[in-house]
Amino acid sequence: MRTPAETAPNRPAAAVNGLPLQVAVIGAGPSGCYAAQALRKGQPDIEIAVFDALPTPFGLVRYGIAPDHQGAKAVSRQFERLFGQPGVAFVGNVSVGTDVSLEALLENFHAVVLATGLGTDRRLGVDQDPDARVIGAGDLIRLLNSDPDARLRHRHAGPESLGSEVVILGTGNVSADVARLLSKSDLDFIASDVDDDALRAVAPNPVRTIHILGRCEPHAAKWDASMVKELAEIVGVHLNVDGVPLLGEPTASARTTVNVRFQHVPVSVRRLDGRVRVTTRRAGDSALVDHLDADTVITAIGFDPSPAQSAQFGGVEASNVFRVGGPATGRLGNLAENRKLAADAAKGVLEFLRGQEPLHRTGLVGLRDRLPASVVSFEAWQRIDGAEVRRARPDRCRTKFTTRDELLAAAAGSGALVSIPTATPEAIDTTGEVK
Amino acid sequence: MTVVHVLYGTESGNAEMVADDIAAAFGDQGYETVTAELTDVEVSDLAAMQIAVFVSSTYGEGGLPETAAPFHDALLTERPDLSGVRFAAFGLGDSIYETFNNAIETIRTALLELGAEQIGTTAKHDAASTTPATELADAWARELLTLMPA
Ligand SMILES: Cc1cc2nc3c(=O)[nH]c(=O)nc-3n(C[C@H](O)[C@H](O)[C@H](O)COP(=O)(O)OP(=O)(O)OC[C@H]3O[C@@H](n4cnc5c(N)ncnc54)[C@H](O)[C@@H]3O)c2cc1C
Ligand SMILES: Cc1cc2nc3c(=O)[nH]c(=O)nc-3n(C[C@H](O)[C@H](O)[C@H](O)COP(=O)(O)O)c2cc1C
Repeated sequence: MRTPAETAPNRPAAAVNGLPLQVAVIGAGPSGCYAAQALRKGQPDIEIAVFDALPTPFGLVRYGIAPDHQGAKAVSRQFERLFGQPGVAFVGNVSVGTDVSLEALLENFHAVVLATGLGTDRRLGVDQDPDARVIGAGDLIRLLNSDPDARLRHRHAGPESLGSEVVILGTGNVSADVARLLSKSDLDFIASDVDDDALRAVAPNPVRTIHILGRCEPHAAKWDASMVKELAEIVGVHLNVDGVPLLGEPTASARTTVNVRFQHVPVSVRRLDGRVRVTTRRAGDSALVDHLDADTVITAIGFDPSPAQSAQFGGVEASNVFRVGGPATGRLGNLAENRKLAADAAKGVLEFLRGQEPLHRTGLVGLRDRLPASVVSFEAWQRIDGAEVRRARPDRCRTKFTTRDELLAAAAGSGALVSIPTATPEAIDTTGEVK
Repeated sequence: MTVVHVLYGTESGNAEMVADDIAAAFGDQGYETVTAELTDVEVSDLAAMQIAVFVSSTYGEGGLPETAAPFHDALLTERPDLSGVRFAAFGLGDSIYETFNNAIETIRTALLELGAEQIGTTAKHDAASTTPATELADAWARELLTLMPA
């Protein structure tokens, strides 16, 4: 096996006049945080600033992973440790491309890593009435996770009830998350941080009937078997797969019935008498057509890899710009995949930096005049964090703030929005090793 | 001087953080420590280790994480004689799964079968609990230190 000396970088990347190398990461979701973590493990004296458009770090760990799956959200503890280190800064509430330009980052950092994720649900792409009630699973989960920017929160009517019968399109883990959140009773949310107000707005009572439609055959479904099992095991939920109960006939009457149907390919979504009609045909036999009427259709068919994201940065192709997660693969991926991708990207960044005769770059310090006053530092985020945990109702682990104003007020806490800490040059000796 | 090897298998990095903590706890007591992901460890290196601390999460239906599975396969194929090796075991899992913390049991069973001796108790962190893994790791490592040869 490799000794510590062997796993350490072959040689430290050159520091300039004793000043460390500076890397900017755009996006404080798991991809960005894992990349920063791997960069620091590979080169402990590197200075990293992680920018996020939101006032809060952790991306979809906070606003995507289901609020009743706190275990999966616990990876944020790794990232808290990362931001606790001198030389790693969270620069929240700064949208790169809007509040500060990518060019400004390139002027101040030796390398830039784009880790902006995929922000939008993939659209269905079938014949669809524009006013039919179709919402994206990502948008719905953001709402239930208290994302201040959740699209459903900002419709002029506000979030409204999904009705008592919904169709979910897609058979991946996100589809299972949505079905589970809409079928649970209040008691099932103990110790979660679900946005109770939002949940009761979209589902005043657990939804009575949920149809999950998949295009593929059952064995090809993308969800983990454990996710389906978890759904079927909720007390009061009865789950059928292609008409067959998954766990045998229920003893009590069902609060929510979930019908999973495979090999149903959607062909159109129409508005009909205030409801939605989903027309599907059988995979492999286009003559077999089915209609399903419901109050709302929820699409859970992945996230949009379209160039909206890269357009944000004008499709930059500089040798010191790296991509990780969605911007690299076009897929949102899960934590494990993104951790691996981030480790690879970090290797690429370090190789690049070691192969360069680096210019003088001052990192965040050089950018300070150009950042908006309302920057949220990691310390300020910790104030938000503390306030959310303190204000939680007894049976919830946290009650999140749901607007940017509230988040920024909590960030300001007692003091003003504090400045961003960076490692002092004295902490690094002339060989570039951290003491 | 006793060298403590902290060997981890992970998918989303929690086990790596725990491994770092355990290594730090031993380092603080003057032990030399080596931390490595199981993908970087050869089964043949194991017999020469005095103390090996295994840290692993569980995936799938009670399976080993991707970075630990090849190591376990190799253990079962190569079957090195591990008498003389002392090991400790720390698992990470989530009690929403029926196969709670199965992977560390799988690793433990293989090591015991090959003659290694376990020291301390097997820790089983539950991600669904409110205790952070690092907190459990610190407490567990401290207890383990009391069982170490002087
Ligand atoms: C409902 C749901 C449940 C999930 N559950 C799990 C699970 O249980 N386990 C699992 O492994 N994975 C799960 N995932 C997947 C997981 O969330 C993703 O793999 C992961 O979040 C992707 O990380 P990322 O950093 O690439 O993107 P994101 O998490 O989306 O982070 C991107 C960040 O970039 C920021 N950003 C974007 N543009 C800019 C800009 N111009 N300037 C500054 N910042 C910007 C965004 O604000 C965001 O914070 C789930 C996903 C969803 C949607
Ligand atoms: C897809 C998936 C499957 C899992 N399966 C199990 C399991 O069978 N048993 C268990 O105890 N934990 C299971 N877990 C929980 C993980 O072991 C737990 O989250 C752990 O903290 C992850 O550690 P890591 O970051 O080191 O990989 C699973 C997690 C995921 C995402």
